[in-house]
Amino acid sequence: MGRCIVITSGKGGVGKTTVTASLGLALATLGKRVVLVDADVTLNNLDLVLGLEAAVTYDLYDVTMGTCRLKQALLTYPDYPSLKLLPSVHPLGEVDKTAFREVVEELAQTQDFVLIDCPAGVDDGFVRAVSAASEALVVTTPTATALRDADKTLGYLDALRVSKTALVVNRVRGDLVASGEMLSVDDIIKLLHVRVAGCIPEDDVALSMCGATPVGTAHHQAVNLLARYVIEGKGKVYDPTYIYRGPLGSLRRWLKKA
Amino acid sequence: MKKAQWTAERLQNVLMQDRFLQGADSMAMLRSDLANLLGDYFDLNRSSLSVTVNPVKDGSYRVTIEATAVRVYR
Ligand SMILES: Nc1ncnc2c1ncn2[C@@H]1O[C@H](COP(=O)(O)OP(=O)(O)OP(=O)(O)O)[C@@H](O)[C@H]1O
Ligand SMILES: [Mg+2]
Repeated sequence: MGRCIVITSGKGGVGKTTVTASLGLALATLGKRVVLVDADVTLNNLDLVLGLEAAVTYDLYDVTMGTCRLKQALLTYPDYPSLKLLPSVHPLGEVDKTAFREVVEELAQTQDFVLIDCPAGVDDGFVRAVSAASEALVVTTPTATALRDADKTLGYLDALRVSKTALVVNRVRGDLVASGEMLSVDDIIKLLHVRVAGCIPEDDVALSMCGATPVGTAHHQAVNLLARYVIEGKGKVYDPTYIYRGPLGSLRRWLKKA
Repeated sequence: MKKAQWTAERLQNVLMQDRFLQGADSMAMLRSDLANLLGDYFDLNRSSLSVTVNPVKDGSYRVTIEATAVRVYR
């Protein structure tokens, strides 16, 4: 039986979809069978981020309505046969909560990981996405507003009986953390009293479509560490301040500012 | 003060309020629980019972419970 993990946040636009796609790719690279489920039914984007938008014929809504079989709606990512996507393209289709959970359960039977990309907010769509999962990754940026929403989301997850939760801190600027202008992962752990599974640096390559980021980049390393943390339930998180420490680091910081 | 530190201090306050003080229910529940507990030991003036929570620098909180008792039970 595979693990069902919902990627959620509270605050919108902090990187749920990007993290879902890149974590999925990293897990698949590590030999895991992964399916990504776009549970952001109204504002779907996972198909686009993975570059699979043109391949969609059936979607989550069709599966829950019985219009097609689950297998027919699943798309395979061309370069990674062990990575699949269950897209959502019916913005007005009402996806039933119980039917959704059944679909996720069926997926978990043949996959190692089912990653559910959750819509922003804590409304019906959130409850539907969360109710199908037994674990959650809460994505946040290191800003006061996003962290406040993340904290509330952790409270809701607790109320919904999702006990295995961890934070993913996204868009961290190592130079700003090193100069004391941005909260560090340690600051965040102290404030929210939560496990941090990953720290993803702010990186232009994250903006590129199709998920895969060039090997060797900071973003790639960070996502790989996140994937290992997710698999093992513990581990190192990426340290974005690493290159900004010491005399050479000060120079880099100065160059970044200039 | 560095910006990150300033953000952390404000956030610590906001999180405390979100989690606790804003939830009027949980505050009322705590007061009633405390009144019941302390009521076993003291003849308590229930309306005098107050609970304050203040953030401390290191990320923890100082919880202060104050109450007036008319009498101490034996
Ligand atoms: N580490 C990063 N560095 C730079 N840009 C990023 C990073 N992560 C995400 N972004 C960008 O931030 C924007 C929002 O990301 P994304 O769509 O993943 O957020 P979301 O939480 O899924 O949003 P929504 O709440 O609307 O579903 C995108 O343009 C994305 O490319
Ligand atoms: Mg999204």
